[in-house]
Amino acid sequence: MSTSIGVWVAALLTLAMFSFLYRENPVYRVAEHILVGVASGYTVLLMYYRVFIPVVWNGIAHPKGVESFFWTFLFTVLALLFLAPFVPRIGWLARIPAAIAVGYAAGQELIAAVQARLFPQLLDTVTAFDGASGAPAVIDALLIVVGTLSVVFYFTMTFRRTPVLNGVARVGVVFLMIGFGAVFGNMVISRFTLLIGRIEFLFGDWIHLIPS
Amino acid sequence: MERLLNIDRQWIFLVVVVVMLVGAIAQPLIPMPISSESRQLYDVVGAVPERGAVIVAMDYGPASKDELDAMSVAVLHHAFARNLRVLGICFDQQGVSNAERLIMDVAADSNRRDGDDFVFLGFQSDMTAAILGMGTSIKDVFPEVMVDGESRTTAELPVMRGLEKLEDIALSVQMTGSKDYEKWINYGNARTGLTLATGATGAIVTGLYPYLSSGQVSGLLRSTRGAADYERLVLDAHPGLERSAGRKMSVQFLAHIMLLVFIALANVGGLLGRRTAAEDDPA
Repeated sequence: MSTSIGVWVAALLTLAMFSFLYRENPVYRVAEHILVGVASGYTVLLMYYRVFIPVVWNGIAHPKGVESFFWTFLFTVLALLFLAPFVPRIGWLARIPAAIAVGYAAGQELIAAVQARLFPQLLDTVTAFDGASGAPAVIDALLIVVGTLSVVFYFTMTFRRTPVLNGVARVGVVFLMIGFGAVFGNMVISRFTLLIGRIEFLFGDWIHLIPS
Repeated sequence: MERLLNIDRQWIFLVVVVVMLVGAIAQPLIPMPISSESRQLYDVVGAVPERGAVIVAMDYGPASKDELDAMSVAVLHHAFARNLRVLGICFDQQGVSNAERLIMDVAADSNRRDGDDFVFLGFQSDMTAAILGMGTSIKDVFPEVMVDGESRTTAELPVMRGLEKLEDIALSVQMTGSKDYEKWINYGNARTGLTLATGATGAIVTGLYPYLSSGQVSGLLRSTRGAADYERLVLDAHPGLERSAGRKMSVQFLAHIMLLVFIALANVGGLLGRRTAAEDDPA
């Protein structure tokens, strides 16, 4: 068995978490609260030492120049405005940084959506047969084209569907179901890997039953 | 059969643990072909010229550690063995210390020097802004770093010589358990043409295949299977790496068999139950 206090604490907390599989109980709840508390505390400290001190504090107290001081100060004030709702009379001020944040994010995302997703993916679909030699490559290309078109038809709601279009949309549903099945299957295996990791830890690092 | 279908779920959990424990102790060796996407990633790392710069972004926290650590270690081992310069990054606030420990451990095993052969650039809270910023100046986004326990100016480090922006980076390999891979694609690949490769958890990997197909992602490690493939590829050429994902795959193989048995049993039980109900109530 391990003689490390850290391993023992981690092992007991892991067992406390697993106790939920039997039923909800106080031991599980204590472990859950510890997890949330430690994660929050760690994040606050990380943000303090890696963001607040180097960016905000040093940017204002020890600026590299006037321009650097101006921008740091401006965005610090804007960030502080997020706290305005705590004073109801000036609560509306929080809308200013919120509007800037939303505008910035939307602007960035719009370009990214077109530049990185819409055009390259569209191009990949329309050129799917380009250079496809051999039966597997052709089948692969065919699946990409048929799958894309049929799924797009399934989500097209702006005109009345004829029986033919309904048939195409039904093919789209099949592609969607296969897609969801693949996601679900991968998700299950992903969770199994996490469990394997915990079992290796408990029976390997803690009680040394599994050879390393 | 009805008793089997109404079995308490605790018994199923117990069977799962026993099967996995047996697998972890017995370690059955399951020969598996190496997947094409894993080989692609291996080849793309192999194509970086000696002393070329590679970003290894370990953008995951403790929840994805068991799936992604093996990938990070294998990629780092491969990069160090090929004498590439490595810039470690972590954009997940809860994974910073783990990412730093991994790069330090693998570098120590590979006799690489902090600041000369590699550097851990650390964490930035806004991933989008950081990647966009790195497109114009890496040193402005990470002005200071810790090297051998001391704070140093990034621009002065030998490892950063000639590395101004993302265009100077030969490859970026990101390990992630979230949709943050889109930020590297959106702002790294699409804006600067940065070559990207990704290692992903099973939960998100399906969403990466369209990017692999379009060439926006040049290689992909799919969960533990991808990590095991990569370990084998690296071990064949550069010994000294400890098999970690390969061991997990042995256990996962037994878990797959167990899942199939459970699914088969439940379906047979369901069908038999339906037939019995139809016989009892012919109307």
